[in-house]
Amino acid sequence: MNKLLKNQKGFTLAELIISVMIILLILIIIASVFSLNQKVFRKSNLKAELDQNARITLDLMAREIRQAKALVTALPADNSNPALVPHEIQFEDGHNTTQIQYIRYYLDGGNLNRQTIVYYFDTSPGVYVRYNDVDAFGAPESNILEDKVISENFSALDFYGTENITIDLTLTKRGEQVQIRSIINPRNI
Amino acid sequence: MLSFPNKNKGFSIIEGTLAIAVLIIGLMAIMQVFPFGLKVIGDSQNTTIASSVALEKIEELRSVQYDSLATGTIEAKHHLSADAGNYLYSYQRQTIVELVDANFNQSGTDIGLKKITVTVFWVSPVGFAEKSIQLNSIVAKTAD
Repeated sequence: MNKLLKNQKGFTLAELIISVMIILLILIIIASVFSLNQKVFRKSNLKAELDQNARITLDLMAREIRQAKALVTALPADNSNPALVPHEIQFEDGHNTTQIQYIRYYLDGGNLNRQTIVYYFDTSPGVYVRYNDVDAFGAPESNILEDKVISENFSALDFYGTENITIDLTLTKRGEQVQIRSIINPRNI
Repeated sequence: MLSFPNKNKGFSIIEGTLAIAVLIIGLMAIMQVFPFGLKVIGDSQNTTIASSVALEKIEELRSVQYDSLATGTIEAKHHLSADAGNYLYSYQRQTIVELVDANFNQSGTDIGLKKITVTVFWVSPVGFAEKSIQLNSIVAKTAD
């Protein structure tokens, strides 16, 4: 036993340096695979998030505009003149059968907000009327019943079209962009 | 240096180089998986946009009265945007309306049923093959 131990030779300096270099090389490669994995994970998460937000908001707006009873926002026929294209839309809610109320989608910074608005005359504040109704004193007062953030990371939101309404939206976050479009035919207008 | 006994022989330089080469090839193969994964996500995004632009055509055609809905190829396969810089340029759409019988098979006679078929094509980033999705809708003649 003692003899065996004494017989063992160590590594030369050159061998040691080479083996350390090889270990380092392998560690660097593994670390770069790991960091690549992290990057791809973040990027795919980001893409999935933007995709999901775009799809959900498009579906939500499409469903409500499809049932809208009247449009308040005047829309141009097409988007040939970007200056005329509104970035918000207000319409009469077709789903609420108990009261006359309006829904407004608009951008607040990068957030997409949804407002519920009602109109009334001072003489009878409990009775909701249409936005363009008039009484002896003129136009009705308005009241915002609800104002909620629906989605984030919006960089553009366009509405246009006369009979069929086109919704065009763009979401941007950390250099990643998603654009989607759909056309809605309001059934009740 | 000193002569080692036979059983203590190390790896030759060739064996060592080969082992490292195999390791690097393996790691490179793993690295290929990540861009592929991103392409798959990109393609699912394409599918979402394609189904949205397919749906919009159905929505448009369903707003037309049954009798005014022309049959045949409503729009031949065309780019959705004339501008090559627009994201919609990558999508091509084809719309066909045909008369169908009670089993929704194409027929020559009008029994009050029309079938809308919208197909959207795009080039998938995975394998650069053309992919497509098809949406169908049946329009029935209603008593006015």
